[in-house]
Amino acid sequence: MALLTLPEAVCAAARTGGGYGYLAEDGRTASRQSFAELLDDALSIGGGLHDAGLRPGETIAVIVPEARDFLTAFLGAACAGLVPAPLYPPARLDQFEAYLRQTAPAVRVSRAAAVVTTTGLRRILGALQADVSTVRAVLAIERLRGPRLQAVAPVKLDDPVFLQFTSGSTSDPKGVVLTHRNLAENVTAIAGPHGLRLTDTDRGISWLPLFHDMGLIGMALTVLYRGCFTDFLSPLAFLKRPATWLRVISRTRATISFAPNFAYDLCVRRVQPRDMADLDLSCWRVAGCGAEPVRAETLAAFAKKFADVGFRAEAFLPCYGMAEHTLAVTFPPLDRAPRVDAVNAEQLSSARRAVPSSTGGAACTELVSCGRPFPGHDVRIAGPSGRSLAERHVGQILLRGPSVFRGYLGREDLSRETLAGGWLHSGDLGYLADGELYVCGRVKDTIIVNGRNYYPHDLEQAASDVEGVRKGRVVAFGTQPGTGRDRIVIVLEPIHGQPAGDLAERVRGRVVEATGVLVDEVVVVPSGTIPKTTSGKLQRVRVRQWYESGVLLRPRGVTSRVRLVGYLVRTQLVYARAHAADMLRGLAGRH
Amino acid sequence: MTPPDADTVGRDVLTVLRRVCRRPVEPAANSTLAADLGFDSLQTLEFVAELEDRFGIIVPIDQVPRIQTVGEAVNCVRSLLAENVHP
Repeated sequence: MALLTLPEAVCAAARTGGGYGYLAEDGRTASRQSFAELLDDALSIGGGLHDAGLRPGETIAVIVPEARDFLTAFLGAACAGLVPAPLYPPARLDQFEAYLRQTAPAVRVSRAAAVVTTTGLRRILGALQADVSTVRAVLAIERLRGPRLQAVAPVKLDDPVFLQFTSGSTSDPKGVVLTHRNLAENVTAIAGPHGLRLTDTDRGISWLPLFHDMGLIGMALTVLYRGCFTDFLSPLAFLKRPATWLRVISRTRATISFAPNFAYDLCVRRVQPRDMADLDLSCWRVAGCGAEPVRAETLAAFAKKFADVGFRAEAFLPCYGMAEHTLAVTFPPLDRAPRVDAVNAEQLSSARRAVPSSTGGAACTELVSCGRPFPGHDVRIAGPSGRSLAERHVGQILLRGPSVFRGYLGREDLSRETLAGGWLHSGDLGYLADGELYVCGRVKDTIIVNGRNYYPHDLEQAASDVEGVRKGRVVAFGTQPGTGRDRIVIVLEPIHGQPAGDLAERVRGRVVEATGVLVDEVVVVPSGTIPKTTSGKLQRVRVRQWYESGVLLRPRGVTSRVRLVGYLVRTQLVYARAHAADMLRGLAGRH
Repeated sequence: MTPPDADTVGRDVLTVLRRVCRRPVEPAANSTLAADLGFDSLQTLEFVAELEDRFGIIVPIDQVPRIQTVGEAVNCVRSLLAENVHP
């Protein structure tokens, strides 16, 4: 099948019966947009953008909260030959200064010629025009309906299609440049015979934010290229009532839906028996799970809870991906229950080897297979020297193939380093077993003590199991205060406003019990201190920097409650609370 | 400031709050959900959903970020109930 550029794909979709549905907060359909209507709207927005003086090849930042307006603006820009850069919209209008501080760096990196937003946000975002020299206009989508374009822009497969900002922190944003070829290759792989095997009768439902790659590419654009139908629910509607997601699947007989691990956890915890009375999830053939580490116990608990209403464990599709690889990297086969590899925890950390273990308990780590690469794409595991490692040896995951991005905009050194030797260096650690990929941590986060490697995620997980520790608000890292040896530090937030006095001691006890690691220091910080990136990843690097610079004060003792000081921390705190990304923990550029 | 449990609405809000908290708390009207009670944003949304069920109201999602304290939650419920009585 010939690869299509995004404008060509919009035109082709307009000839199918597919489209998008937009749901109200309670899950009922609020409006529908066939792909023929979408093409019409996109051509009209595209005409408006040309009228506003924007020229093919220029970049525009797209900051639009509602799904329908967002997709119309995004595809309108694409049809006009512009390069859209989707950015997170502000969560609250009363804290816009913090929002502007966080957003301006990404707009600057994108070299956007304009910002497209809504009438409501335009007043606030007008400041970006003064802040960022390349921005000539801040435009409201409601007023962009110009004279309809006669035809979509004649872009080429190797032209940039859009910029993804889901990789990297907000303070140092990295704009991932993807081409039309990257996009077409990746969505074709996702939809195709080694992926979801999408047909005209498939129907999707997504509550993932569209300014995030899994929501935008994984659902919206894959469905567009394939010409089927998907509904969109707002992320907040899901987070407020997780049962709404499942009710929509049941009501619309949806077949495909993706979510991060935490969403399945949330359903296990929050969906009540009364919500399940008339659910029927037997239609759900692919329950994708990505964007953060996939946990075997989460999948098992979800499958058990919802088995009675027709959910099959075989529907789970735990997968791996990253923004620099467009989106998807590996998928397991369809209709297979998650494959779980129980390995010796000691061997995994000390010898970087995944040795099968049947002992269970703390001595054993359970990892979920993310499957195999798509045809035409390669995955290899490299040791520190760069040479490929044998199966069951842990090393950096390297990727090659047509989905690999072109580079970070304006960051040639970083791009060259990331793409050294013709392979994309993912920065993730993993191993292969029977040709399938298991992901077990990040290269840069790895803590080395006495020559042994520890994965922060494992320590964080163990600490999270302690009662009184707020789940997802635990950061582990190694630090070298001039001693040459890593000290292991865990920074965490308590659930209680006033933590129990022995919380730190109980965390140390639990971590040593679960992982064999003696933590040098446990720092308990007030709620809201631990920041997230816009992609929701724990900011281990930033917390470590705060710790090392003394911003996280330790008044006395080795393990004492700290006070939060400093302007930097206060501004971060305000932002962390304000931002919607805070609610979407785990939604990262990695899947 | 009026204590949160000065009337039935206030008392019921506190009951819901304690259930979502899953531990004993004695909040005042100006207790903040995040800093004083240790709620993260997911718990705040759970709290709002429980309030909706208890009082038969709908709290529009764009109003949720305005609920930062116990008193603001009580006021929000009161005003939504008043709207229902006088449509």
